[in-house]
Amino acid sequence: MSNLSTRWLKKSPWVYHVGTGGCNNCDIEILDCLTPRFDVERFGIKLVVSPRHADVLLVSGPVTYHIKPRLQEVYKQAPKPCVVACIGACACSMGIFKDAYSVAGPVDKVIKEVDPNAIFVYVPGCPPKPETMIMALVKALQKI
Amino acid sequence: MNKMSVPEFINQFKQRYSGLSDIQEHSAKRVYIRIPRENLKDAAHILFREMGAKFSIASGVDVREGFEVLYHFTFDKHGFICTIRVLAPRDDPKLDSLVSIIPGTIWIEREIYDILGVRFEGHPNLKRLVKAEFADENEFPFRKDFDIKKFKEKHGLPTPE
Repeated sequence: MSNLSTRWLKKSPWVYHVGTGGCNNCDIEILDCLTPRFDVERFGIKLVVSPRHADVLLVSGPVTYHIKPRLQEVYKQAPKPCVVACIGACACSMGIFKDAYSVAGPVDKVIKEVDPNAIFVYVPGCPPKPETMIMALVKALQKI
Repeated sequence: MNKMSVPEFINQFKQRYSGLSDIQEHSAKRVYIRIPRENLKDAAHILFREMGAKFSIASGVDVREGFEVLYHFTFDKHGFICTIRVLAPRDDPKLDSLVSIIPGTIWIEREIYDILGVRFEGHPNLKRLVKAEFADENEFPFRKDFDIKKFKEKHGLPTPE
């Protein structure tokens, strides 16, 4: 893919943060990533307030049954191509919440129900370091 | 300011509270008071309104005798936590709601009702809160007799291997 939209995506990926029932630990690391210590805005990575502006969805937490339809709706609203970054062990594989009564499945499984060709990047860790998230995003954008 | 120690607090509490109580002084920072469920409102009124405690959180546990609800009160100026333990028997899991005394208990009581199934009498809005939408009103995941396999089979969810 080398059309105009992917070239823009590589230059300055705008991220939208979706919390899907995590314990807020990954969310805090995402905030660390965005605030001046790591300052990802120097790479053009910027937090936006609407999924309609987003190139990357940062999803943290195992997907609960409550949030499952909302996450799918948010993914549908994001313009394609769109990278889904699964932040943390829970989002990658449900982590310790596997087989729980309230958890619908890992992020990739839930999103593949609406789009089988979605692009994923997995950032395991509990929580992952901000450096790891930046590196994962860079690798994902190189692949596109 | 004069700091109140835990033994002093127990003395003051005993002077105000007339019902049955089993006081366990766990450490210099922690004291547990087990009371019968009829006296829950009195004890909460004494701690919250008269002695100036702050309501921190409540928690519910499924124990052998029934469902135990623990109301944690903190005394921030004096540096200790006082926990009120009340037991709701398994065959009649009802407790008095503390919303009329402590408005902050409204959400946690609703959550305890939703996942543990303790009914709080007098709660203004005792509805389900966090459980999945397809789950039945009488399925309580935090009870010891909750069977995750049966629950998943009943609702057609993928069962654990």
